[in-house]
Amino acid sequence: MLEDKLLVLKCRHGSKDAMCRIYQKYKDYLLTLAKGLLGEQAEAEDVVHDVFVSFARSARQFQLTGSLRNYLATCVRNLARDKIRSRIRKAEAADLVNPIPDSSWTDNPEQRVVEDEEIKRLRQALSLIPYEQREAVILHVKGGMKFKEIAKLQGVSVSTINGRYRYGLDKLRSLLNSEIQK
Amino acid sequence: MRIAENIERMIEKLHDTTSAQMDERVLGDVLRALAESKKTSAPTRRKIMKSRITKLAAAAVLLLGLFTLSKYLISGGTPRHTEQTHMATARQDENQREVTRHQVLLERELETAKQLFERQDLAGLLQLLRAGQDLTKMWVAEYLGQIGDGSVLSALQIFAKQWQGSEQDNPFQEAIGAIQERQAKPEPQATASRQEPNEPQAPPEESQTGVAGIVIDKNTARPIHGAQVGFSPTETLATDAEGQFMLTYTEPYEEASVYVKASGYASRKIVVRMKTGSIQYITIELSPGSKLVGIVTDPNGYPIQGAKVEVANLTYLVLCPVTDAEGLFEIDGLDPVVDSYIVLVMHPMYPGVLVSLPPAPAGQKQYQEIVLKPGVVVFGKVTNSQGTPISGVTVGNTRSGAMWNCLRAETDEKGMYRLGIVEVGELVLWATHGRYAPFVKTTVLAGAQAERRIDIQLKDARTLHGRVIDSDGDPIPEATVTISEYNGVTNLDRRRHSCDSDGRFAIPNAPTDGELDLRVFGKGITGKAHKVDLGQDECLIVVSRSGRIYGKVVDATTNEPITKFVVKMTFSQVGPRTSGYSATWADEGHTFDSPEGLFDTGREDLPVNGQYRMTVHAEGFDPLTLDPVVVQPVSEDLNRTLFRLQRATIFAGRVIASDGQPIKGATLVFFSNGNVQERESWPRAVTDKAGIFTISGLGSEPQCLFVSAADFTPRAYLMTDLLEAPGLLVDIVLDRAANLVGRVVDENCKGIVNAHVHAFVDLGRARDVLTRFPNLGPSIHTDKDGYYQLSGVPTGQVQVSVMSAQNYEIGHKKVNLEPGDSMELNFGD
Repeated sequence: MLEDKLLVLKCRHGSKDAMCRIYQKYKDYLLTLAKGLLGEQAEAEDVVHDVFVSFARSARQFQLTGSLRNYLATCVRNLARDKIRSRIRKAEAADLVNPIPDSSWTDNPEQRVVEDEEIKRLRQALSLIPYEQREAVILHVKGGMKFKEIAKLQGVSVSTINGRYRYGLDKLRSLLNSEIQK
Repeated sequence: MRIAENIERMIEKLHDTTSAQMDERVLGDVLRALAESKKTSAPTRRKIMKSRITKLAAAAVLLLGLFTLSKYLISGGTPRHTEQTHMATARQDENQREVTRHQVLLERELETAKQLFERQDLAGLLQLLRAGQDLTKMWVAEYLGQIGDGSVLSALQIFAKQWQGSEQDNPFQEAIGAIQERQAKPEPQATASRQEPNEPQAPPEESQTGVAGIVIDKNTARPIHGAQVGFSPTETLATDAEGQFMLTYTEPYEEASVYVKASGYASRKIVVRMKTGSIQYITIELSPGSKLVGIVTDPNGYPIQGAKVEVANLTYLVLCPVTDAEGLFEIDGLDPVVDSYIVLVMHPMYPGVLVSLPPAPAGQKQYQEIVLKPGVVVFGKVTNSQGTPISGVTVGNTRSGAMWNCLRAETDEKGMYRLGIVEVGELVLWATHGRYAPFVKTTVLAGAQAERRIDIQLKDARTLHGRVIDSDGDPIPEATVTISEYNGVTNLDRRRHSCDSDGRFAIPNAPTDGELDLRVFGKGITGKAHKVDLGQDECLIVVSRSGRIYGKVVDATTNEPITKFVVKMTFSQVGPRTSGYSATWADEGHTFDSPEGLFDTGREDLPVNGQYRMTVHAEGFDPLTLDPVVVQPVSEDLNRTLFRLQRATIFAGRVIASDGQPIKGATLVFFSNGNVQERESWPRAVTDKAGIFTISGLGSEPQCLFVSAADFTPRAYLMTDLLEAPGLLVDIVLDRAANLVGRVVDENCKGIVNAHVHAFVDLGRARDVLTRFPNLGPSIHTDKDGYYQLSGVPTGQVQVSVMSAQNYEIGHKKVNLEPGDSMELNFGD
């Protein structure tokens, strides 16, 4: 926390080292979040790129009031949501039912081989649950955010988030179970 | 439920890592964006925003925006848009609060700057220049330009370089120009400390009194360019490219303190004995220093701006910062060799906080969070025994009984006093007045109240008569007597009462009961507290006459006098323990330059026949310690103590890893019984890339050696065990160090913040020669959640102890560690 404050302070004075340190510190965390939300590697990378570039642009006026980690996670969530919206618009234009094609879920062949079969199935299952539920699950479990924080982000009550989280997990469970039965 | 938990665990396992190509792409764009943001930085933007045209344009845009928004809302937005509007409004409110907070802070800073300018307080203005907001910095620069003092030029130059606006608008450059213009005008009594930093200096004139010399890196012996040197911590000049400086001395005293600091080095203060009409040449060695970086917050974690952070127990110069808007501060130039130093944090709205911290290793930073807790305002009325209010009474508080950090207030015409914010807990309240007996009361302040009224009734005083004589019964005329302690509170009354020619004195405001100590000051006598029996009509104080230690320093081989040397003095380790000397004797020592090799203890009022331990250091010679050295009466017939110094022995050795590879940068410190308690003065050596070190000037006492290097286990040795041949040591082999991580918790399993975790290095055979055992080994403080991570831990059976910030033991464990081990070790669980 203190280190983050110092890094932000240094960024405000134009320190490249501090900016690199922030990137190194949070890049994997943010990429995991973005990929958890979007499912697609290239899009997730774009989101992380845009988050850091936007942060760098505003670094000189940036005032850190809470945790930098949560701030960056919120930025990822906002951009991921924009991407999803754009996908839906494109899907509607193309008259497609599912905006996320299955093949794009793990589009990097190398990654596909390396990744554990279990994780692969989880990613696939994540792609099939509603986005609001996926966001609640990923931000809470992987992003370490509290329900209260996610509720504030989504502009709904804490109990709604609690419900979305529970339904999300139930749906994932049933998807994974059904796959196992297959 | 179990499946749901498994899914959560599976999600936790998700981990994506960025590719090298992505890192390259993102970092390239990020750094470009950062550089671009630099071009449109705040000051320039502020200037644009200040223009009337911009304000009009902004108002028009705002109105247009409001019109569009209202039209859109009337036409009916979707629920999502309404939701977003609510969120945007909440964000706006938050931003507005932030802006208001900044405005208030800015106004306060500008007011402070004005007051500092009126007081011509350069140190304060420089602190504000560093810690203030951008606008404050610009104001301060203008004030500094108006004052026209050359010592601030280097600070202004740093800010001038950082200025992002157009050059003609650069306020820092304007201030520099104003100062230089003023300096160009001839001043009748210009001194060296007002000179332009780095300005080529004329060779010193022989009629001048002063100090000249060079500042060098202790490890590399390279000159340090830009080091700040001066007779005062705030008035300094910078060394030139060769590390040289020249200071002109105008004070009448024989001894002068020279303050030295340089970025990345431990700051120092050196005492130099001056000679009127001549220049003393000295070489100042600076060792790598460490930094303290921290944040000051309230109990809710909100940063506190404007808190003054001081390092208390240092004899050298460290500039004390004020926390910025984010509560952050940074202190440079700390000596990493000391055991610990005391950090004092003060703010007008909170009681001061004192934290004892070990320094970070050389070249590293230590992070520290300091929480200021709310206090209580103490006020009340002071009356006499008839209930009449008394004005002009000094009222103060103390906790330890000492006066160094107390708050004071004077009663007004209605007898009312009001102390500032007092710390919650035990309160020792005291009051003094010239016509009444001193008053001391102990009570407890509860945290729940913001204010507490405590009325004081002063008792009538009695006049205490007394007489000061020496051990022969002769009176001490012209001595002064003062109340040094009353009921456990020291120095509460600073009035001094003079003795007449018969040594008699009278104290008109003495108490009738309680415990009273008096202290006598005077030429030729030693100061000491004397307990008074208040039941007697007249008290008799017997004081000791003071004397001096006279010495002569010679080369043991030739018997020729050594002309330049440093003398240090501490209490005797063999005779009765006597104090009475100033701290400089024990810390830096006094430098002497005498063609006959002579020295004496000068103005120190040492008791005749008192015994001390004296060490003489001279370049090219081993230091020599004599104990005891006896104080002689001041007389013409001198019996000088002879210090015969042997030519220096040079020791060389090598530090290697267990695989035979040399260890570069390993630090070796040498200590003996003579200096075991003065950690700052332990001679040090650092290995080169071949792992080789050399050291000289260790002295004749049995030496102990402590070796430490990053990632290697620290070890202690008795030096004689390592001697292979005269001056040559066997290879010192270090294993890989172990690491400890863990948490320190209280009985409720809550993490204890700032607990001190220390892994001790076994002294081994060094214990056989030492009379006192120093604590060696790595240590660290726990973070706000009670966690710690300690690296460089010794291997084998290691003792680890944890002390609280209040210095009580929390836990003590013994663990067995192998080289390279990482172990979890918790305390209090």
